[in-house]
Amino acid sequence: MNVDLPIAALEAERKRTSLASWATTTDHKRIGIMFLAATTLAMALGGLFALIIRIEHLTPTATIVDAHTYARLFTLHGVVMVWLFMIPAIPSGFGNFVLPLMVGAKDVAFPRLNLASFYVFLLGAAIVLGSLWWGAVDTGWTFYTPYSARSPDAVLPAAIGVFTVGISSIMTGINFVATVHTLRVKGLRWMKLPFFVWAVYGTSIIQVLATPVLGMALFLAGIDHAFHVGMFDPEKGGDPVLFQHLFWFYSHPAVYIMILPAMGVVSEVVCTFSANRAPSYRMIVYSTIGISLVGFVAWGHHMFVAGISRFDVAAFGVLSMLVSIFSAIKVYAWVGTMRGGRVKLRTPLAYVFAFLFLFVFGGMTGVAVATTSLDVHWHDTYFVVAHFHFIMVGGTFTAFLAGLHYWFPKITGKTYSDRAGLLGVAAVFGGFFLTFFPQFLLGNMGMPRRYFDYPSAFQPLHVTSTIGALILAAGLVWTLVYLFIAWRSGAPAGNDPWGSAGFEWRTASPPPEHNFLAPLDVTRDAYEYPENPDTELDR
Amino acid sequence: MTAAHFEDAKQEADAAELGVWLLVVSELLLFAGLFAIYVYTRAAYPDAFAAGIHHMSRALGTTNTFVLLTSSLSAALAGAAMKANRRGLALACIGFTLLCGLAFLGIKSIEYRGHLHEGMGPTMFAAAAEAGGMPRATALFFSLYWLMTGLHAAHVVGGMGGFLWAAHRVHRRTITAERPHPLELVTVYWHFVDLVWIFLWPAFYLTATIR
Repeated sequence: MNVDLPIAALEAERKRTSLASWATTTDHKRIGIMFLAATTLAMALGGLFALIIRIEHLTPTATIVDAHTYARLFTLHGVVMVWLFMIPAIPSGFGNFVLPLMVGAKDVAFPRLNLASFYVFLLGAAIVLGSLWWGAVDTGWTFYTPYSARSPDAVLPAAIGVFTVGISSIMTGINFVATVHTLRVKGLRWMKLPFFVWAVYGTSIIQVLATPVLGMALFLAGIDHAFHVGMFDPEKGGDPVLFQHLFWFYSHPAVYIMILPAMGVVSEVVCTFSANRAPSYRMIVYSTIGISLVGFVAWGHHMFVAGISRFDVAAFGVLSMLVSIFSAIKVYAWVGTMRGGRVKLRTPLAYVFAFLFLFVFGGMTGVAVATTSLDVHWHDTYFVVAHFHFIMVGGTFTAFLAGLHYWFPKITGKTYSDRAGLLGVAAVFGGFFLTFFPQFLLGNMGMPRRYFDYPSAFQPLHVTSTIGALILAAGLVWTLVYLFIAWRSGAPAGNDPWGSAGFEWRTASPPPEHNFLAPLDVTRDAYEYPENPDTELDR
Repeated sequence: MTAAHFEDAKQEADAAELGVWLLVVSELLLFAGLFAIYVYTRAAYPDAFAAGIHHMSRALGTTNTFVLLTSSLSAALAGAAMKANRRGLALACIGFTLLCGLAFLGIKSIEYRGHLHEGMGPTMFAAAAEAGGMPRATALFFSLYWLMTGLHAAHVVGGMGGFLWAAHRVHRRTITAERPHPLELVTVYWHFVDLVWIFLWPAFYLTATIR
């Protein structure tokens, strides 16, 4: 008997799990997990900044920080949450893990580029956070000129950091588009692709096309600040509105970089936990493509009061409303899926309910602020802050948590306590609602965003909002705790704990190195459930 | 040899080709943002831009256009030579392309040195424009000039790096007559860099009289 064999196996196992093997891996699953860890860390940091902001607002004047620190905090909160969490979390995290599984590929098209993308992301994050060393930035996450050209703070490092994170985003986007085009398993036609793949595909196209424009605009704003070039500074002949155009040419589509993957997660979760196919596959896919295209021509609605022409205002208003039509199609499709299916209320689906509430509520207020006459009143107030936190943050964040709970068994091979999960949903949703609903009321009463002080009449609503934020934070800490316990000591999950027909569930949990031991068989499509024979409207 | 996650060499070549074209599209948008700023600012200050263009050396700019176009021809010939399995000729063509790239950067640095000498550096042109009797907004012209041509020059350096890598692979025989696509894809990128210059040339050297 060969006694060396177990030792050799142990040695191989140690090599496989060593830190160096993670740092040099080109396995899309490991890169996805590293992105999830890094973005979750960024979310915790951004959340910490938010908590300090909320605690500061417990009293109408200074509570724990001074006005300048306050400005730096809301800037860092925005920059970290937008660029280090919401944009990369779902596409680079879950996208990396499940997209190749969902197309039956062994890996992404360019595995080394994928790893490089992670390191570029870390570098960008380090530069953004390194700006803290020079005292951080106080311009707001939008870096609006001319203030950003004259701010006393370190604008250039923050701008270069965001630029660098953008390069990572482009690298991931290129990788995913090439993967979907060239690495689909034989027999997987475009119109059989899972919804999440479509969503990430649409997102990747936006990342490739829009990110460079933002990078350039921010770089120029940084140069304006560092060298007083004046490209966007009216005192030197530049035009600040030009910066706004360039900034929103990216940053409005960026909203869809955040929400499209979220919609993809929701489509998957809804089908799995309803054990049903969507009423129309095509409508979901076409609305995904529609959003990613129309998203490019709606940026002007951020600038209704910036001095653009009345014709532009009307055109951008109408185009913005088109987005809500595509979104509504999706909402009806999800509800229709549940209506015809057998709904099993598990944690991921509970997060989808939270998503639907926040998304529809936020979407309706979005139509309201796209109405230009109303926007003049609400512009730059807490109403807009509450609106985009409902739709963009609420939508992306609840979908992120839905995806985390949905794919957790696939990623770790373990199961978590559903009861703990549902308690987490209650705290996160309740806390979120309590944080931001009062801000709609505050905004409507005239509370401007980014103000340090406020009249004491606003205090009760501000305090309510802060209590909500604390509940939300508690819910998130709770979630981290039970997921950590489940990861260490949860029961084995098996290949398909949810009874899903999805492609990614047709392999082991966690999947082996090249994902599938035998080529993925797609003759049974990703939404075919035996108890619900073909009811699709398309056919 | 094909990487483990591809089915066959054709799939690998297809993925690489799509990847490079996506990179080109992304880069195109990077420059498009700058050209948008150029057009917008020029529309606001036509006189300042005319003054700026008068300040440029049309001869050097035009020479550089010829240098870069010639390099694109030799780059394309390198791919054709590789497909005909003439490695020596392919390497010679790549070498000539690299020489052209160096010549371009050399001419550009002569121009840059001239601007610096006259006080038209990237950080001091606002005062210099006024001192030289030009409109204040000429400063904006010069900042765009430095940024756009500087970024383009960085892309030339990147493309030259690509050709060095391709030459290394031709030498190591991992780029072959049957598998020439890495060389062709570097050439795609090089043509793109060339095309950007085709737009920079009129924008900064030729169109002084167009209002």
